[in-house]
Amino acid sequence: MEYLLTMASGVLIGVVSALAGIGGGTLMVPFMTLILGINAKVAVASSLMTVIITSSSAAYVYLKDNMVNMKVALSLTPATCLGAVIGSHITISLPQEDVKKLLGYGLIIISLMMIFGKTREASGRVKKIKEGSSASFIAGLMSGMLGIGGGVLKVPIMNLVMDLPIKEAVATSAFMIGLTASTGTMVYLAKGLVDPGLVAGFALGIIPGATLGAKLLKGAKPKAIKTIFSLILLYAGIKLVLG
Amino acid sequence: MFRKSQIILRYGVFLGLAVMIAGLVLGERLISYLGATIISLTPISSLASVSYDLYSQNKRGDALLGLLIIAIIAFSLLVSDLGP
Repeated sequence: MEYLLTMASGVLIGVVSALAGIGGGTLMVPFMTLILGINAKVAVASSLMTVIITSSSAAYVYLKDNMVNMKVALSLTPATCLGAVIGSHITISLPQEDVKKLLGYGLIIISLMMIFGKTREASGRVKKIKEGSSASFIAGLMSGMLGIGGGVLKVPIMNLVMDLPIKEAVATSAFMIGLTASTGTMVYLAKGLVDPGLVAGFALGIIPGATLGAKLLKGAKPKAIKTIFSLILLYAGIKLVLG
Repeated sequence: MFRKSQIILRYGVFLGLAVMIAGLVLGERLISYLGATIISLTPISSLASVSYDLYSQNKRGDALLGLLIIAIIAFSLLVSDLGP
């Protein structure tokens, strides 16, 4: 019964993620902590492992279509992975209540980025790799701490700072997310914080849910949906901060 | 390009997920954790394959970056035992 509930939640999260154009982790962690009442550390760890599953499918498609800028991915990933190691250790060392507050602040930042975030036409001539690496470290830190993929930070960094076209930035970010999430997951897995039942339930729900969401997207208004869910995330963030 | 890496990404996570579900169905915690480990190792294996392809194409700098990432991930495993 518990697995069926997580699977049904996964379908819902998959649909919403595809419609709003965000990663599953951003929705999964608040859903697990606020609605299912799961321990925040277990929620972060299990979400991060589910992110590997969902991002790998996307990365496969982008690699096949030759859309990943491998030079950029390889230049930024050492910083994100290092950030993920430190981030996951921070979450593990904090008490449960502080982790919830940390999640809350993270969600508030992410929702504000989603509401006010911008993209631009880029030349495609990669620049400012050092600046990109420093910012990617923060993305990795957030990924490890909050159990998210970090695409919400990586894509704007690559597009706005490094001048990568938006589609190439999304594809490169998808390839990087698997590696960043894998680094953080290793730490949580070694500590026994990953719940395989949660991961399997969510993954089995998110995969068909995201496909369904992508189909529904044709008749939907993505910008309006994204704004609505950013506000829901903002609410969830405030609720977590206030306890 | 990076054909082997694509195959690893495509089938690695599904294999891991299948092993994890098998472990849950059988009630064997160790098997489900084996599945979790396979899932975690999939992106790293894919990156190792990318690094090898880059090395074969004489792009040694990029291949070295790939190896550096793998080293950081291995380091994360080593230090995970040092924390609280």
